Amino acid sequence: MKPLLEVRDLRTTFAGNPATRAVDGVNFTLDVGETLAIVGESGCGKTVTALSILGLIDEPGRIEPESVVEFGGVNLLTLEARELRRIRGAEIAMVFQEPATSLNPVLTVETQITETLRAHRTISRTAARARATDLLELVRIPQAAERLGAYPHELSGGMQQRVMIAIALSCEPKVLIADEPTTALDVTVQAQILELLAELQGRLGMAMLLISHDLGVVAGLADRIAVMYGGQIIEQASAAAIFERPMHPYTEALLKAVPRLDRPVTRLSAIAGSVPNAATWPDGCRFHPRCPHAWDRCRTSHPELTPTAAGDVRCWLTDEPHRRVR
Amino acid sequence: MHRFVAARLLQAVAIVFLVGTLTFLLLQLAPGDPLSSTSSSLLVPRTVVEQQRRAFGLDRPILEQYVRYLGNLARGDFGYSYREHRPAWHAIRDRLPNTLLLAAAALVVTFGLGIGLGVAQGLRAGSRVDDVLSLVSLTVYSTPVFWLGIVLLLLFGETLRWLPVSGATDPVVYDQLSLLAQAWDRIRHLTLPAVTLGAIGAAATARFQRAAMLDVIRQDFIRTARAKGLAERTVVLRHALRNALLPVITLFGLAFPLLLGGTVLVETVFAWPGMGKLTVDAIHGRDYFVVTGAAVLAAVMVVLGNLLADILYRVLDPRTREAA
Amino acid sequence: MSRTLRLVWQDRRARVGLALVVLFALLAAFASVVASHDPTAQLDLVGKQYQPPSLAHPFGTDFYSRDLLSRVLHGARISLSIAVLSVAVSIVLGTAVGLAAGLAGGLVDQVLMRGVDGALAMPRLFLVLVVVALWEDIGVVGLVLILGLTSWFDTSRIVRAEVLSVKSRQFIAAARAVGLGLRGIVGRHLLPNIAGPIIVMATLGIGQMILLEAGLSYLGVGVRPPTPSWGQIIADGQQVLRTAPWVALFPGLAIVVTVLAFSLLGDGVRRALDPRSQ
Repeated sequence: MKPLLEVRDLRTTFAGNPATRAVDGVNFTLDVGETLAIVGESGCGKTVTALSILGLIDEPGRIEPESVVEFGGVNLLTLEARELRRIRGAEIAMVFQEPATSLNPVLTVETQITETLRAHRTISRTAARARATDLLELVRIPQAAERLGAYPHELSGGMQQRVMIAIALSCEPKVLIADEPTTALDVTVQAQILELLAELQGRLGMAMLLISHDLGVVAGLADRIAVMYGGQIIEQASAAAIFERPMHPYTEALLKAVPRLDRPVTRLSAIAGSVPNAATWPDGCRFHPRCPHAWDRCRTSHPELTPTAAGDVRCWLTDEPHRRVR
Repeated sequence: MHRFVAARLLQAVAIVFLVGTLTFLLLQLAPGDPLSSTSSSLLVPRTVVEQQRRAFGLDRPILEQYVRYLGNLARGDFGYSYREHRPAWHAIRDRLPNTLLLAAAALVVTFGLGIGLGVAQGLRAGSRVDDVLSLVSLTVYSTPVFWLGIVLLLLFGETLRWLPVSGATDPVVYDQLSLLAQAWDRIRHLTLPAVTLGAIGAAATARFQRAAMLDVIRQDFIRTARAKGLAERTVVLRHALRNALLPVITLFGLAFPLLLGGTVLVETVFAWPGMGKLTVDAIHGRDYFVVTGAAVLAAVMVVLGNLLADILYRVLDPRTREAA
Repeated sequence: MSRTLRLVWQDRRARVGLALVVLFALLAAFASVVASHDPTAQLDLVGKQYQPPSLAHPFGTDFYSRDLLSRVLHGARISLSIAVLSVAVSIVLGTAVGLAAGLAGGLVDQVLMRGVDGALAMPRLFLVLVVVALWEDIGVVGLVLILGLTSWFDTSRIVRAEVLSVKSRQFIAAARAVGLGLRGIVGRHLLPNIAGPIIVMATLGIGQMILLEAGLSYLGVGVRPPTPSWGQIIADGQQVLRTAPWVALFPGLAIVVTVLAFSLLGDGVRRALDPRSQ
């Protein structure tokens, strides 16, 4: 069966001197009802990947012409602006990281929900209003009808994100892209929002592309996980495989950064070093300056994403497992 | 909201009070008393001068003079116009509607043209069109308003003969015209002065609006609006412009002093029978109380303009609106 | 500071502005050398009245057969001098009041700033007109003083705000801790920090001051004849707009280009000081 969404050879660059290759050859698929998590530190290209799918890249950014985002048999990246708008918000909807700044401060919750409905469907004002109330109830906002008249600043961060989710769900999209939906929220609220997303996805049967820097966040939701580093996917496998037997040293490091109950916390801090500048990726494997196992080959030669029994991985250790430092 | 308006009103009154104090200080500091040069004029009856002297209590201690002066201002008594042989307030009052008409028309040009240009530029920031328009608005902003008036007058009045060059109405036939024709005559007379006065403000507004638009268009909620699949027109008009207009409202308050100062020059260029021309004529005719009266009134208008801008901002920005 | 200068120089518009400002300053300074005629000389009242622009008189001549180019050049000297000097007065005064209000705080701050509120409420031109009306014949020195004394209000507000923001920063506390006196703190820490905004205000202020002076002279209450000033030549020219439009046009163009030059330069300096502003 053909996947619902297929991203092939996605490259997004930002003009500059030198140009920034934020997303540099990304491939993945998303099936109906499935949840794919894209995980990585900030600066690795997750958000730009998500925005590229809907063509939401602003100047000086540019999606390279050979990139393909295939949805329902058409390449979204070659669509006319008008056609693409029919997909945005209706077939593929998005929830952003900062609900406080992603909602328009001068428009009411009602306007911001109903304008999406009215952009994609022929629906009367009263019907749209009723639907907006239903949506707010769906995302568990108490006194939904009264909240319609509220402005974003009158709501808490968690409530704002619920409104964002209600907006995204308004046209019953086939794909929901959630870009760090809980990062800006308090820990307890985070859990509630994740729970809500999981429940709604099951109920509405939509596919979800969940983007996070935190493997802990995606653990309960993701069917498959793609780990990104340096604008590329460096490991892709089922969630179970990633958590049980991570192959790439970067994935291992990310896992170690997640606090877990079943083992003593050895190192809570992030991985040593930082994501290199996207304008100047290092030669060879892009992770080698931070990798404990790196040897000469990693410094000079760039590994490809290679299929293995457990999943795809982009690491020379698959060729030379004995190089692994114990 | 009521408390906010009340507080602002009180503040406005305090500022007008300060302005009155300022003019009083200037009158005190000026060489001689304000009646000395008028009293030497042969045209002014002795009794009128004496009566004014008593009214202003110029023979009393300074503190009493001050209180008396403020009291007079509060009652709308700006002093006496020796050129028109009637209270200065009456002389100003007769010209006020013409100035308000001119200022209102100029405001329409200022904000209509300025906001339109600024938005268009903000959406095309960095393009060739934007560069050219930026230079044009900076040039207009650097142009003396009275000279711009003269150039427009030469071009559209004298050379092309499309529009009348002076006055508020046709001096000969206006009274015989039908109501509709009278309105048309007024509009034709108003066009050049209003465009002249409005153009300078439009240049300033365009610069401001462009910056505001650039600032808003980068915000997250614009990306949200696009991700919803809204038409670009809706994104710009409903989401970007509504937010980018907020800072321009403060400009509305700031535009008032510039506008009123401009009326003095533009009214002189086009012989527009308003408060500004009256002020200039009063200076040349040493009719001091008309000058100070007009200045105080101009300040009151500025304060009211600011008050209006403050309230408008409160109403339009839900973040500053109090829970009712 | 050198970084700022480099940024200003890299900015094409600012460079044009600077070049024009220098050019006009030189032309004004050497007006008597550059100008072909005495600006007040009546060349030939019968034969050379209202001559259109020609090689001999590039800007034409006026009613008194005076050479307009020479008058515009000498007008530049008067208008620029008045603008620069009155801006100097207003900057010094505004900085002093702003420093006093910001540093003293409390009642002094309240009184000064409420006074400034009141003064700002009156349109600047009206304020100047009141003073001009009450003082009558003031002369050029008087004009400079009046213009300077009525335009420092904005400056004082901005300086006060800068003082408050600088005052709250750590290094001022540190300077105080090591026993640096008030004068030391103001001279060594405060002024260098607020120099940037002051330079921007002064540059843009000169342009606005040229416009204000031109307006006053146009109204006949600024520079008095026969001393040539741009606004006054334009007023003369308006009387003969149809027959001799050049009399009003050339001095106006001179004002536009000069003010534009200061605006370009001032904007450039602001961009260099604050890269975020567009």
